[in-house]
Amino acid sequence: MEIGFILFLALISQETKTLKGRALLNPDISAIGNIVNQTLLENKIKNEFFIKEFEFAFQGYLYPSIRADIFLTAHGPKFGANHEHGVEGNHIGLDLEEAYVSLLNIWGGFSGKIGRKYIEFGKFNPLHPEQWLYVDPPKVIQNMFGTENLIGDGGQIEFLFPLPFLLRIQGGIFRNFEGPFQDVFYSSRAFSSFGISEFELSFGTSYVGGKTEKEFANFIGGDITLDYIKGYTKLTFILEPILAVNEKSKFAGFYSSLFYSTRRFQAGFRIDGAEPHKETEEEHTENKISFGISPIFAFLLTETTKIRFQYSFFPSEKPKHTIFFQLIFGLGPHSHVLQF
Amino acid sequence: MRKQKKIASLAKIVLLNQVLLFLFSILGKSVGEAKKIKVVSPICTFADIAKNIGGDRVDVINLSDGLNDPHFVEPKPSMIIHMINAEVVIPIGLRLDMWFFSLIEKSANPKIFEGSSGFIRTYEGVRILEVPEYKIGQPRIGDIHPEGNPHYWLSPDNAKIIAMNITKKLSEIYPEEKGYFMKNAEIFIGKIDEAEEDLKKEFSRFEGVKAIQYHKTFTYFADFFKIKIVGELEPYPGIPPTPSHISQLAEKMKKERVEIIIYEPFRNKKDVERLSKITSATPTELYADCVPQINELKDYISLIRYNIRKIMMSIEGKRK
Ligand SMILES: [Zn+2]
Repeated sequence: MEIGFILFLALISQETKTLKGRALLNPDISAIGNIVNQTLLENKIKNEFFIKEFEFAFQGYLYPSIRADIFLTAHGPKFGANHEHGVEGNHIGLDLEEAYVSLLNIWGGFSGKIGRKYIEFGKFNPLHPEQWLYVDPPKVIQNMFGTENLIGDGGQIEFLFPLPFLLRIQGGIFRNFEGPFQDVFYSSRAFSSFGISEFELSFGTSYVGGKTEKEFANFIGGDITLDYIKGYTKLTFILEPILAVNEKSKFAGFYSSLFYSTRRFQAGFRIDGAEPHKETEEEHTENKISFGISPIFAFLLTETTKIRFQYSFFPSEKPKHTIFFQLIFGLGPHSHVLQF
Repeated sequence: MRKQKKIASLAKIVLLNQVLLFLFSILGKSVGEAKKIKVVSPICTFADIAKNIGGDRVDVINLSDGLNDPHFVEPKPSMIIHMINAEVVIPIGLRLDMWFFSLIEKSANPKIFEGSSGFIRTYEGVRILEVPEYKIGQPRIGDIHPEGNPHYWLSPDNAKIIAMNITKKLSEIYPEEKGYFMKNAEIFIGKIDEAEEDLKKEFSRFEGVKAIQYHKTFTYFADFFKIKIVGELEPYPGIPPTPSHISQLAEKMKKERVEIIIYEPFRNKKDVERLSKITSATPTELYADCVPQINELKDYISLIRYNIRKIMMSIEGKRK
């Protein structure tokens, strides 16, 4: 897959088309660093300082209607993992996080993407860590997918409806890379958004399904987002419940957050509620939902540099208290993401 | 077990729903099409120019409000609707309105992709200032002007070039309306000429006045009216001022006898006030774009007139 993709890029780059002077194949290169300090408070204090990731992005046009996005990431350890003995999670090496070609128009209102991608499931999963409003991912995502983001190799087709409001649907077939599925899985998403003066109200439903080691697993998600944007003042509410329906079990979870932000800071909190991932029959019997609340505050130093503090309290978990401190910095061109 | 089946069928319902929605809209696709040419603009100025050229043949939508930084408009999903239906887009380019390009890109509307007939390269023929030496694509910390200064519309001469680019492109796409567009362009350019002449005359006694700007927004404007920009509050475009930069700047301002500090309403006024206190230069709030809901800023010519008069008032107040 990767070699094929690189070959494809090389082939295409033989043709140096220019868009009236601007080189088409001159990609935007940007880099983002994400450094985290995590303090776990239980019976004793455990402090960890790590480079969460360093991400390099190459983005540009291959043709006016075809663009390529490549993200190479050096990962640090996963959140919530116990890295007392170092190793595993601490390997530093470049991973091909995402590498896909977007066909911005195939026919009519159809467009598509081919390659390795963060699956467009819900609001959180498609985002890169520097775009998160939080330091760590919501518990429900980790419990559902076993990873911080569900990623797949494959392709998807999208359709934008010619209606007076935004309605977009998407369907894709992917192979697993890491996470719950064994091999092939299917994804689909419908997204709709309405702008009423300063308000933007969005709804989405998402689905992914495929074979896990033992059974066929379905994940169904819903998401509601309400934004109020006036100048630089922004109020954002997100609610994203996810339900996993396997042949033998089911489990559910959600997260919800409310943020107020200006040009200089973001302040808000996230509420988590998630059932544990049930693999074995024993675990199946206890049906405990773990709730948590995390107040979060971030200073925005520049458009790409921010310092964020997060305190997470999960009364029924170990550790109960976690304090995060995060520094994110970026080099190169960046802009706000528009998410479907 | 039964419960599980129920939930599994929920998944199917979700999928079915998505398929149904899709079929519905294909059926509804041929809803009545308006005759007017749909133009989408990232800023009020370009929308105003397009309205002047297109007259009653165009329906122009402006996606920002003129009160905020055009670099960092938050693209909303509902804005895509305008892009889906657009026939013509008039972006700023030079990496200023990346948010606008992201909307174009997600519209699946090939008519408006860069290089297509409905994509107007508004700054074609404009002499771009401050084009950096380094190659595009090489990252540089915080620089939001990687292809040169993109605030070119604030020079009335450049506004005429923008108007001509829009006229040319509209005439290419709608050759039957060419005469109409050309005539409108002539009238509009005539109006700019008139305003230019008036304002230059009014301003002539202030030519050579020295100013500090917050961001490199008014470089073209200052160039046109012979205002000497001595420096910026931002150490680099997009990077907020630091105390050490402000004190350095203050030294320079005292030496050069800078009289005014120009900034837009969305900048951090505390920085401006601090600098003004040390240097006694007058804070002068200008606009970078027209604002439809404010009468004295309602269109491009009003905007230029407002800015130049505001500067004259500041200097007069100071020199008294
Ligand atoms: Zn700028």
